[in-house]
Amino acid sequence: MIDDYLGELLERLQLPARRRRRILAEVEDHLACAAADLHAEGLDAEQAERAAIERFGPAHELAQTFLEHEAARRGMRAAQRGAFVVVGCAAAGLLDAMLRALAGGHTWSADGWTALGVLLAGAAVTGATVARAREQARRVPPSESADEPRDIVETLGRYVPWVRRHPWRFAATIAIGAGLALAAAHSLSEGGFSLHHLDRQLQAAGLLVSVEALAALLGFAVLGRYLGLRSDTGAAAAEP
Amino acid sequence: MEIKGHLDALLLAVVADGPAHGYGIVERLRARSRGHFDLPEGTVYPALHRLEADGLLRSEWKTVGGRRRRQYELTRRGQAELGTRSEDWRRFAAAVERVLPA
Repeated sequence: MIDDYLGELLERLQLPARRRRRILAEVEDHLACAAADLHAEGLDAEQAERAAIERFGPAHELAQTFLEHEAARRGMRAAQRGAFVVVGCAAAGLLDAMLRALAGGHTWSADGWTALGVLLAGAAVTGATVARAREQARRVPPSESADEPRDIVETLGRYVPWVRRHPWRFAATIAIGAGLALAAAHSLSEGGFSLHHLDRQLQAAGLLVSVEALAALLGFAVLGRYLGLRSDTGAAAAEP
Repeated sequence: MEIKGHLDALLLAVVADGPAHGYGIVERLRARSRGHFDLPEGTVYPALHRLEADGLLRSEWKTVGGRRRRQYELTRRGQAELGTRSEDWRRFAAAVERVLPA
């Protein structure tokens, strides 16, 4: 009978596997303890199970409550991440413009102003979103649970253990990749490569890639925590 | 259910006594309220998970007598929150007491 109850709960709990497993384990333990106590009080085994389930409450109601909480959490996470992405892109763009200005001796360009403007707007949106989400949390408090991964490094680390073991190498790889991508985009927008003066072009390209990669890496290091890309504990401590 | 709005505070108070798993928490609540708070036992779990998600409780798996159970305990934030809610409740109850006829 307890098995039937758990089966019904399992079907109705449309949640991530880890959360589902934890809930079922806790419910099973609870029902087993309750049935054991009732049995000790004099009920026969079957009556004890039935009474324990009766006192626990209907499976569909319990599942419903869990699902409602999950929906609220998802909503807030989506809103926060959307805002963080805006700020992240703007911050990366700003850093990029700053570093290129420093490296190339260029004056602060229109790119820089645009990036700064987007960054400020993004920060305002983020602030408003987080404030609103916090206010909603007082009523139906959703937020990251201990079970959920805290940042992107942890999420990816679930599927690719290398990422979890070496988060900084992962960041460096991504940074170099981003650098290459940005440099390629930049040179394409300026008319692409030609076979003339290839060595000079390669030199310039190499400098550009380095600068862009450094910008991406610095962005990750400095802003990663605020952008939900990495958390304080775990990831930073994992690498020697 | 009358206690729904206050369930969080009651759970925090019960866990403040010492770490416990869901079943133990329900038993303690029933005992301390002298049977007055006798809710569907399952309802504590969504509440406990939510309190943990908010950092007011922390939990871990413990093996007790061959069984694996999830034990909850109060965090420092949870302790502070409990204090605040107790204070709020006392003020509220005192105000109601003053308004209602003797």
